[in-house]
Amino acid sequence: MQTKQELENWYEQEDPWDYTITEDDIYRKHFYLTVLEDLDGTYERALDIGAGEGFITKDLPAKEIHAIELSDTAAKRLPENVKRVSTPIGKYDLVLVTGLLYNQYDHRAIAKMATDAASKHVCIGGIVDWLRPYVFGELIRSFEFPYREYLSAFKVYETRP
Amino acid sequence: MNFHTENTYQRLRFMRLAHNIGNEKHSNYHTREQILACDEPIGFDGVYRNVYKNQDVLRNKSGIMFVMGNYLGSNNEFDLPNVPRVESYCTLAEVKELCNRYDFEIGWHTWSHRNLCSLSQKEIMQEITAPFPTKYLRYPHGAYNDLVVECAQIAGYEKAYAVTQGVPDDPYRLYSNYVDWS
Repeated sequence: MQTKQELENWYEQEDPWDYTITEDDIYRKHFYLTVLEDLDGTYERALDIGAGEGFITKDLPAKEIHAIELSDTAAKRLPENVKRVSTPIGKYDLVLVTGLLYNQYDHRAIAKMATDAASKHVCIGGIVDWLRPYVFGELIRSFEFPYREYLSAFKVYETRP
Repeated sequence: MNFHTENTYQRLRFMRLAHNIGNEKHSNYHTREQILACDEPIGFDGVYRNVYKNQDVLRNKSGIMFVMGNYLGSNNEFDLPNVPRVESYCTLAEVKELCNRYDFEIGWHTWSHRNLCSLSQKEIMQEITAPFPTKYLRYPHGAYNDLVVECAQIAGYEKAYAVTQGVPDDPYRLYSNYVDWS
């Protein structure tokens, strides 16, 4: 499993995955946001678990946006409209987990955190071959599209009351 | 009202095509009277705000609203000089409102409206993957080739529409023609 220090080292360089300049990532972000626009339009509270530098987080359609990010270096670059929290604070009608439910991360703890924090929608994104098969309620949207040299998935679950 | 009756579904094998509702003398424009006189399903490409503003003419009509992801709530500047003037597109919420209110379903007209025949398979799949459930795809410029058709099938569409390049009764190469054209 990747350590915190390894993450800090990785984030020494700004935007280490080149999200902001890679067409596939700009597409992916636009895709996620349009799915959310179709589903709800505006949420009250959003939580992005593993937000990185906030590439997607900052544009989530929510009045209040919280981010959980292990790397202090990455979190320093979070934009002003995103508040970093160490654990979820209350419930969120939108929980986003992208590129994180993989073997190299603590996916069990992350999935539990998402489950406990969600009051409406849980959105899971990531590379199909790497994603661990968690379920967060009723699957209401499921998409797959080419991403870099992979196939990427984006799924939206409605949490069970 | 939703038009999922077998009759309407069958009728969607052929659709008339329209873009704007207005009085401009251009193939991208149809008057309110022309839309009202059309008794076949209509596919609106865009979908332009002038369709939303003239929505009363959609009463008792059926068809599909084909949206483009990159231009929702924006305008058609990307298409100049093929269009006579800049026109605004509906937001996704406005298109959904039209579909809920009238006998129309939402369809996909790709993200960017690029000609799919000039793209790689990866690019085609990205372009035709809609961010909402839909059964209907309109090819930009009506243009398709075997690879584009194969991608439309892989993406799970039930029907894909060309324009006059299409053929009747082929669900992935469906022919359409403009409202009020023979």
